[in-house]
Amino acid sequence: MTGNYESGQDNSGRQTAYTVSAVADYLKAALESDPRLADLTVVGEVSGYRNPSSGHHYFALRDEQSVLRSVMFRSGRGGQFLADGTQVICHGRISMYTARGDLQYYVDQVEPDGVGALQQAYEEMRKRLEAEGLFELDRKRPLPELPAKIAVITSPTGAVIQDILNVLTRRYPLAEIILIPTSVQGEKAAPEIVQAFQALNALDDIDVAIVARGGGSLEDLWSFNEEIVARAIFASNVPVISAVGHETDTTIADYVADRRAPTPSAAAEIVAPDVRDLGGYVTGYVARIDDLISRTVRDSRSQFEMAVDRMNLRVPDTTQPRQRIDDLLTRARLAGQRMVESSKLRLQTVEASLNALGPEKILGRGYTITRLADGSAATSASQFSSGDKLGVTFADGSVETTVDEVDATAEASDP
Amino acid sequence: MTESTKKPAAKSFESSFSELEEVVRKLETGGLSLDEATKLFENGMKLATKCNEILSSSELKITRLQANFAEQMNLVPDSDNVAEDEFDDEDA
Repeated sequence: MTGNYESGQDNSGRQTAYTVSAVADYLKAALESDPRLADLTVVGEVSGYRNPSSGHHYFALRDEQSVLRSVMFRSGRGGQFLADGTQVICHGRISMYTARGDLQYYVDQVEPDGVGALQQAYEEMRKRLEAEGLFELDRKRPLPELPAKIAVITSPTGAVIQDILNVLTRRYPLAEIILIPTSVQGEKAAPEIVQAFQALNALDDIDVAIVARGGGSLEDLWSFNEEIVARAIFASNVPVISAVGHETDTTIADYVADRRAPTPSAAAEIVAPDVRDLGGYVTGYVARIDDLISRTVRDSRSQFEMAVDRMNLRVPDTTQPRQRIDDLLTRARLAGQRMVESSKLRLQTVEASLNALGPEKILGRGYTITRLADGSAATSASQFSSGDKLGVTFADGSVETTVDEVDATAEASDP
Repeated sequence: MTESTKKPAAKSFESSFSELEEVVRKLETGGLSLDEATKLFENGMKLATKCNEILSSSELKITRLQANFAEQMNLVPDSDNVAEDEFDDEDA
């Protein structure tokens, strides 16, 4: 139609009949020629929100009196803030969708109408999920003590993953970190985090997961308040530590997670022990073994001496070696105490002192081992009869001899 | 032991450490001959050394799941997108 709009009558006095398309095109052109409608910010409440698989957002903006049909294509920003009943501020242009004859508000950006609206949506969802039992304390799972595989769900770039890797490199380099990269803000973030948890559940040997994001505004952290993220954390096969924003930010994700860390670095500290502490436990056990073996050697020594006394065997003066062994035991005990106080570096020192208590060293100091005919160590005089073979082991060799007389019944026969 | 070098460090440490705990437990229970005690002592020292070696020589391993992990695992729904046409399925 190229008609003259002003001369709306033909020669016969009847109005010119325009085609529908002509009128629609005219309206469209008229709307688009108004600069105010081409760059327009509107505040209103969202209703009838739909987000079909095309990725576009269809909704209406309304207030008490009026409704404005609206659309935001998937390239628009802030789609995550669109939900029925929320108050938003939109930017876009007014035009005409001629195929349907609708006047439309083509939105390119959505923001929540102030923090108040977001806060309200947050509180509502929190109460709903809480009522559903997603935050129950008795479903929180304990964290593994020595995790071998730790999944980290966060942005692959930026300070957060670096902080986590730095802390674990320093404190717990025993693990393998499986980084599952996701966006952590914007519209794509929530579905990507959900996919990351699905990927996590498909791996069967992960011990624990961290989901993390650095600090930001409530809008920045919003993905972690989304219901699909909360449900993904809830459905995780392994315990989840959340670390979103700073200590003062608590997201829905934090409530659902098995454990909440105030910061990503703190999550890395919570997820595993410090190797220095583990080294301390090892050192503690070494000291304990030291103590127990000293006691065993001491007990064996007195049994051995009693057997020697009973058998009236000619042995060298036992006073001196006995004293030396006592000295050694004292030294070992002191070494053990030092071990507990000091670090694992002392391990070798103690091993050396303990080796000094080994049976070979005792032999070197004048003791011998008395053996039965079958070669095993004799622990009692009553194991021998007159005429039995008797072996004596010295540090540097052995002597085979024969028993002349056994006096095993005389319990307290001190010469 | 090739098996222990393949295992993640945390697993090797865990098994050596629990063996060490077992040695301490046996020594604490007592009633051992000098021979048995000496063997446990030697084993305990070996285990402690192994634990400390693992603690001091391990390095963090980092694996990154491919960015298209979701597609690899068939997690992305087939693109059954309806026509791009706006409002194609909307009722007035």
